[in-house]
Amino acid sequence: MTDVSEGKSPLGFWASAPDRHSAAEDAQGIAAGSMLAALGVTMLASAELLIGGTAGLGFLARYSTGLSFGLVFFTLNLPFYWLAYRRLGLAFTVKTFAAVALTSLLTELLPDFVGFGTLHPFAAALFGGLLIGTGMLALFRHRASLGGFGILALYLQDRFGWRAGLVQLALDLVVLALSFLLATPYVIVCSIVAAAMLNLTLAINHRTDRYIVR
Amino acid sequence: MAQQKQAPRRSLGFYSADPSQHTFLEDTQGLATGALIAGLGFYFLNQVGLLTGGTAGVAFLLHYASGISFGLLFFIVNLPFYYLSFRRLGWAFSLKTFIAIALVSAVTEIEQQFLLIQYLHPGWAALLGGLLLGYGLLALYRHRASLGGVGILAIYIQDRFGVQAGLVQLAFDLCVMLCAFAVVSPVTVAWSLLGAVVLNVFLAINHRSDRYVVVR
Repeated sequence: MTDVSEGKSPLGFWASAPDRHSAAEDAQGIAAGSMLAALGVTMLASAELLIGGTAGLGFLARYSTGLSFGLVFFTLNLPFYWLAYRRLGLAFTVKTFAAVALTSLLTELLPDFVGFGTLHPFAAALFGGLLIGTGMLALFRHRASLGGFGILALYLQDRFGWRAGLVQLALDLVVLALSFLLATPYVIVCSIVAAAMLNLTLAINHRTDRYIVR
Repeated sequence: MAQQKQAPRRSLGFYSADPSQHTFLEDTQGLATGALIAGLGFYFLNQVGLLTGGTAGVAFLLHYASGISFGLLFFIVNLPFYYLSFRRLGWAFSLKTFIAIALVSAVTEIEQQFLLIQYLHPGWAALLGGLLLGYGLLALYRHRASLGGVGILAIYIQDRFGVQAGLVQLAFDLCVMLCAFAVVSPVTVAWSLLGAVVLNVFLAINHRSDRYVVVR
């Protein structure tokens, strides 16, 4: 992964080829992405908002049973690594495992060091959605993810021919339907704002023709 | 969380078909994202009395010394630099920088009504604040904007008097940190240095125009 043969980098830290990340660059990308995502999750959790995917199931477990988000999120993602390894390769799987583990750990640790006294649900949605979106953007650009349904959806498409987008939509709808049992309409509206911030950030910015690292 | 999305469709006119150019809407979201995240970074630093470099550092010094709000001071401290910016870096860069700074100032002002931090460890404030500022600045740089004047001044001094821009900026930031001893405790200055290191290492690693290929 590291290519310093062209000698542009005296420290060997920066990859000299613009289309490759060095191991150190990947490490800081995953650390930065996980920290931003964990801060976003902490903000959403402080305002008791909801979200889709395996993180949504983590929130559901937290609000309904009091289990910790980090633990549930980490555990729920475990079954997907085998699929990820089979379909997306070792490097992606290891980096995704690191990102999910770090995000889970930080969401456990952060409340001890950052406490939000008053957090307006709308502000939480705006900042939380934006932070998770930018965190995931950093992870995607370093060829990692926050695990979960996306991998399963890809697998099901290959195995049974179900469209991955529809599978993911169905899974998210199930999570949201469950969430709506717990939430007030106001919380639901704010959660939709958070989801929109998150996904717009990704949709606009995740372009492999613009950030050209493969 | 939606992952593994298909590549975005370009048929809506929202996305630039040309990877080397940002559309107006892309720039708008880039500025808004960068300003919101940087504003949150300043807010974290402000909560525990930390500082940073550049014009923001001057605004923090004045804020801690006088009690006038950071957002207002940050906006005012940057005003003299727009003329240089306009002359040297063009109106598009100057306008986008003005909007980014105005947004950051507004965000840090408004935030305290919606987002009250009850407790925050200075180490985490430095780490998270540095990271948020680094990320916000990276977004702004990639959309050809910035958060203020000292860099522009440094380039001007380099051209005019032949003093290296990097040294000018370093000297300026050292002066800010030295002045900081007058208004905050030495421990706070040390945490501020950590935040500045996080910010600048993050930018040094990630701001590469050969990797993020947009040219304007």
